[in-house]
Amino acid sequence: MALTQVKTNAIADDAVTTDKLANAINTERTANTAKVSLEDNAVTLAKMAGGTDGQIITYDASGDPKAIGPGTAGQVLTSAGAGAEPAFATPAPGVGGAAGLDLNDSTALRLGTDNDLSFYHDGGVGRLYNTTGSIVIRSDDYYFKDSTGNDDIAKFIEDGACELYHNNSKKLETTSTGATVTGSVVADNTPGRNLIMNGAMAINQRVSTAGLSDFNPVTNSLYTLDRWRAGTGSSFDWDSARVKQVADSPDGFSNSLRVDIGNTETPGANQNALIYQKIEGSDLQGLAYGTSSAKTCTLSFWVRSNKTGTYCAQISQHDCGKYVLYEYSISSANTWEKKTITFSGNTSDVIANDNGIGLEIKFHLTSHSNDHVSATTSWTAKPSGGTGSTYLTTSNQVNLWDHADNVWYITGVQLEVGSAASNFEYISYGDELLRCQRYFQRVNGGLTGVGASSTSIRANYIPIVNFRASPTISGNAGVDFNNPGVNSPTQSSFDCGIQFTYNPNNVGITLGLGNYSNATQGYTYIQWSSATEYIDFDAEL
Amino acid sequence: MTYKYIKNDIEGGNYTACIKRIADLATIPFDEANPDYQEYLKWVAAGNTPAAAD
Repeated sequence: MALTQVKTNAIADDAVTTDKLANAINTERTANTAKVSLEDNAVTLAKMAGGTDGQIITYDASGDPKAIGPGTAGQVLTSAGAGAEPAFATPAPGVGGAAGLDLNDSTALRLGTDNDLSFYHDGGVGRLYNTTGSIVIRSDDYYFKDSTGNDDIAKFIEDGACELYHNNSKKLETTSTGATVTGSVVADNTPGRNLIMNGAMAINQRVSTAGLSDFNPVTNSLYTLDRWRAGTGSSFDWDSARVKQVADSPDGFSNSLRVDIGNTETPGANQNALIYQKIEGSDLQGLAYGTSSAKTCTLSFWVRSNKTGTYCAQISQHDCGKYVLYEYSISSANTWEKKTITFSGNTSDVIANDNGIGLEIKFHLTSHSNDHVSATTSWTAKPSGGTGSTYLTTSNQVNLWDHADNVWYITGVQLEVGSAASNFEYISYGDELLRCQRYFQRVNGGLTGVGASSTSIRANYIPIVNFRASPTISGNAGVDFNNPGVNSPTQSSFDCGIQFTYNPNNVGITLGLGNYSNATQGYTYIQWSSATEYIDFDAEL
Repeated sequence: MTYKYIKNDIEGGNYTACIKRIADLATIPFDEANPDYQEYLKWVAAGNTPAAAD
């Protein structure tokens, strides 16, 4: 049998010399390129070079093996990502064990198969989100406190009270029979909270007559829409400017008061123009002015104008002559904007409990520099020198009369107790009309009379609601009467006055009317005025 | 602005409850809570006198 293989153990020591090797092998040996192949699994742990206890082997950036570590006790091997060696590093503090579980910002603790419940802190706000079903928390008592643990926010006691706190002071507590509230309750649907009348600009008794569609104050202040007065300071000339009731209004309202500027005007010395409302003192007693309990109030309103800029709202206390003054800005042309002004109560000066003026809410439209003062949140006495004006603005007040096409709208005016504006208190048209009729009533069929002579008639009028004070009586035509089928006295010119002193707390007014022809003493008459003829009873402030 | 008294044509004399404002023939009651009467008082205080009744 031919010998085909000789195992190395059959070769005598030192028997393989260079002469016995192929030339190619000698060439590689000389060039140090000779290679030795190892069998698979030939390199065992025992064959590897020794190292430091705890080291591990990785590869460096060149791809060469490298021992790293051993690190220190408690460290973990942390990847630095591709292209960098891993390293032993101290883990984030307190992961697990007695130190608790810490998660970085916006890293959620997620519970549920679909991660339905997550709990995390985003760096600013702690958040607990549940996306499926409800959250049920079971405990006998619950205490919600501020982050310091010092202030109470809410308590829910098993078989006991549920308590709500404001600034660590309990305000609402349930009891076995209901609930106890400490302080006042203000809600969006609390009736009677709006101290402004006709804030929605819905009532307009004076312009209910055909052919008279608006108001032109010229140089004299006058009432326009019910309770709203167009004011002129020092006979400022409104020129051809008109005050109108219009339908243009923000959502939720049907009307607004619009001021149309017809010609440009520049206010002269001490002159002003404004829209304002006077509030009766007896209606303001709840504000507790003149006491330490004087109430903070919030004035809110919707306003719109093509003329952007700074406008002023002034609240004046009539009895003491003090005011607070705020600026508001119309920032977007021809866009309804809701404005809110909160002002503190006057703790020093009482509002007289009578039928006189308590507060005046003034929306300024122009003002001469003589009446410019600083805005103030403190109740401030009106200037005693100069004009001593009760109409005051800052120097930033725009002049609405600086362009003939300027318009200004207002509606949704509300004055209420509290430091925030609630939604506007809607009052039915009939109820709001009654409230306004304490101050003004237009009559064209409400009188019954008896002939006092051939030229005079005595009549009684029972107001739909008692007037605030004895009213001024005027008319736009003679007041005609009729006794059907008998005779019809006609008045040559308006002549109607109060016969006896009117008592606002009693019902009815006795009137004397003169300038008649065809009246008969002792005959009974009813007022017989056409739709366009009227008698105005004006008891405005 | 001027004013005049109003005559009671039955009993004679002037009404004691009101005064007439000539500009618009309005009758103004003698009630200090009425702003028109306040204006009248200022007018009188300025030295003016109402005209006699018709």
